[in-house]
Amino acid sequence: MNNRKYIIFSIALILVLSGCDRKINIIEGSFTAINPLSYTDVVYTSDRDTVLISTFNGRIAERVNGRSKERLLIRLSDEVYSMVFEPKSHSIYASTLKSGIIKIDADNGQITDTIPLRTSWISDLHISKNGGILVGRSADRKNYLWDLRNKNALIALPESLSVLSAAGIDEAGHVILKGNGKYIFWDPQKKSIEKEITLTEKLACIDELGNMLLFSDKEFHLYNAFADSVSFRNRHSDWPYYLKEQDTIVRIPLQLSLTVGQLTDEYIFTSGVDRSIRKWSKFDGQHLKDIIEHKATISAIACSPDQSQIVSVDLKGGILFSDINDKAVDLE
Amino acid sequence: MNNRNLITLLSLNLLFTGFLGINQYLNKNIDLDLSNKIISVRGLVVTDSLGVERVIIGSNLPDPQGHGFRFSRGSAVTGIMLYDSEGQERGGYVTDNDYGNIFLTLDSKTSQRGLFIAEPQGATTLQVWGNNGNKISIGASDEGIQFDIFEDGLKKITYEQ
Repeated sequence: MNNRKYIIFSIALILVLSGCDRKINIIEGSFTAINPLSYTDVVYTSDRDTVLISTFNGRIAERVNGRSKERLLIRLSDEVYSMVFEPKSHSIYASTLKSGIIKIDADNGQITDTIPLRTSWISDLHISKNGGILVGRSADRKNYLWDLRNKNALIALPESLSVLSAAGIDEAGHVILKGNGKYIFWDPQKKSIEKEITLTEKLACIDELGNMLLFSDKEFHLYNAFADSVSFRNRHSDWPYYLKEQDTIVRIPLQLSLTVGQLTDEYIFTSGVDRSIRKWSKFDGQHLKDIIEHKATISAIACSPDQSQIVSVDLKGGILFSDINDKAVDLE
Repeated sequence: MNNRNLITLLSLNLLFTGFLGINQYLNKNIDLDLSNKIISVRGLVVTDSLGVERVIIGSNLPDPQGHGFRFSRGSAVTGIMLYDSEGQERGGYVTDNDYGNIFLTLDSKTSQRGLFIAEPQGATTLQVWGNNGNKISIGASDEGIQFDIFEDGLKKITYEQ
């Protein structure tokens, strides 16, 4: 009987003492050096008004013109830099920091395939119009060409071209390679060079006729494929800076670097660190309009498949749908 | 055990439990005063009200990000890095983990534009430049001194001893 009391007392004492035990948990952080609000890329998933956006903190979400809230498609535990949309399978390929390339069903957000990239990551993905070839260049300066219709098999570049940088894919499915002061258009089916153009500037966009929008820091050039020459070059005339205290925009006579641009049938759209989008005539380079609704550097811009609308996203989570032919703009 | 012992034991138990209960209540808020302590950590991150990392003190520092992507720094560095409100790296005060340089850098929104570097053998250089070939460089070491001004990539003034 006495032993039982001692046991009960001992257990009670242990419980009381353990209840008094305090543990201080410090939540461990990590170095990410990212802005979780930043939109890193945007792609259309319909003819117009509906897009998918990606973020540094792994969010891929649907944004619809006129709706202020996003619909989360998937949240990856990884950074997402670039996306391409493949309309036939209604899937997106997203490049990530640690997980390589991830194929995601654009309807339900399910991951359907993964293409590993063991040692590095790709900042800018490109897909051929027929959805057969995926192209990117990794941060450790290696080119990757995947044959999506052959179990994602890697397509090897000829040794002489491997030193060049994969910069895109044109309408005909030629892989665009940049280096040594020129652009080379390489046919992955025939394994042959189809075209060479002597240009040094950075490729921002290429249209279906092969016209190229090129950036050289603050200046843009339009390469006319038919004339095989640069049609014109220009730069943003000023920096429209928003003075919060006075709720007004002042035009500072400085030019800032360009970041992204888009070619449509009739127009050129350029944007950059000055947070503005400028609209130019594709035929004579005339400056037509300023769109100064963004509050941060514009990180990606896309044209709708029906060529009636552009969408732009910025590094502070701003998204803007702009009708190409109308003056109306809408910043959310 | 007789009743007396049992009562004594229960009283002590009650006293002890009561003391613990009161002690727990009085110390429910723990204030950590580290003002007189030395703290050893691998990193410290300062974020703004939106959660954007604005200052990182760490080893090793993360690779920088561009406009919607990340690019490789090329080598690991340790020190202090500053980021703007968009989250872009704008400069730092770091040492590399291999060769032994120490750097103070200033970056524009697109690229580095200022560098103050001391190499392990003592050569020290200050350089500021534009993207169009304009550049001023001042250097000194045990071997000599050097001063250069470039305009549009062409050397305009040079002094070397």
